[in-house]
Amino acid sequence: MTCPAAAEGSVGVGIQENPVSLQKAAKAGQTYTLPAVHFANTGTQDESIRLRVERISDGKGRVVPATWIQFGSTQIQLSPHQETKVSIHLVVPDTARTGSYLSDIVAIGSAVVPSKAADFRPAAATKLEFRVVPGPSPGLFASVPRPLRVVILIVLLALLLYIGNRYFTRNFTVSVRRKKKPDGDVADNLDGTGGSRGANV
Amino acid sequence: MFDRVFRLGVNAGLTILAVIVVAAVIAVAQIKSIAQTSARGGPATTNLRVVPTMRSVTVSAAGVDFSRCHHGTPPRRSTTLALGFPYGHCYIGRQGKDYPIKITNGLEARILVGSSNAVPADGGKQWVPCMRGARHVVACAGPGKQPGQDQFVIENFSRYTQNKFGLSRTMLCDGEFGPSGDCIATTGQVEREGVVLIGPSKPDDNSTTWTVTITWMAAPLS
Repeated sequence: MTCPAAAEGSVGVGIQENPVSLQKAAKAGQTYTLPAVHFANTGTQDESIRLRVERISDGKGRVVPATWIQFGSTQIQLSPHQETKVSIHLVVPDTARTGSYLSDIVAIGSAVVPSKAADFRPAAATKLEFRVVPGPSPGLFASVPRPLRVVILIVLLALLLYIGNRYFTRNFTVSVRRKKKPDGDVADNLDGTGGSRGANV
Repeated sequence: MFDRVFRLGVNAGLTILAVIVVAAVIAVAQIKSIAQTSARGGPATTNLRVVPTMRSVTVSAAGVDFSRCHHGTPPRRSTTLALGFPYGHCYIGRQGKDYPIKITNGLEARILVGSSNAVPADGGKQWVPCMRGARHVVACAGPGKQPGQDQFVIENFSRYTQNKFGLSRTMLCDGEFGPSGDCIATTGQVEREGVVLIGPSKPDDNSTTWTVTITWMAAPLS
């Protein structure tokens, strides 16, 4: 076992102590923005921190599939004692099982303490927790492909127009009678009735 | 009558409008005055220091080396700086004397530790870390719970105790971090550790340079 020459210095990684959690319940099929997570390089060397989701913590809850979590950046370059924040998105698939989820966001340093022996690497983790509830009801046509859905909608609309035109359209007949008043004036008397097609004036 | 009421209404409206305009002018003047005072009186900001809120671990190890290697059988017996076969032992530090790896904890945390595979310089077949305890991730396949072919054991030790089961690729509680053995680290706790590596019964790869990475992790208390 031999390695590069020995050197002074330290490598260190920090992550926020507070868990990353979603205040409201997540719904299947939806995407959420989680609070940005805070990292630091606590060592004396430049550091390249990699992020990943992994179950480290004990506790109840389903393991968060790594594919549900999207980091704004999965690798962060930090100078000694520099800190930064990274955005996180939670993408809950339609098929997600409901219930509580618990995993950890793990920050792993890529820098190592160079020695002639082994490489020594730092890492830090914080909890990631949220709850999934059923998403909006899929509806009657959920399984029908979208183009077919549009066609069905157009056909239904046309059918509705036809039925409306055929059975619910009423035309009005307006008849005008002229009555003679005793003093000789002529008064128009308008009388409208509905029912027949066409108009007689 | 209507005309009189209308005029009164218009007058009242104009009065209210005038009051609003005067109030706005006064407010703007006040804001400008405050801004100018700040500019004349030096910086209006100050720095506030707060206690750390980071869970962290920092590792340092100056000049460490697998400096004491022994065991193995001729002609592949260990030399001082090179691991022999089978079951050669190489040490970083010395139990009861020297612990060259310094691990500094940030906020109160559980300290976990794990090892990578041993990777040969030529990119050939790697050695896998195996464990000797009842609760193992990868069991050692050799006789007497020794590492088998292309397996190795890596154990860490501190002034308190030595890990007799070995590290694995899965991060596990570092029972050597602190006297309690429960891997709970208090805020700012600093501990020193050493490492011993026990090589395989037989390697497949002929490389003479191998790399192993040991990771210490600060994890939530649970």
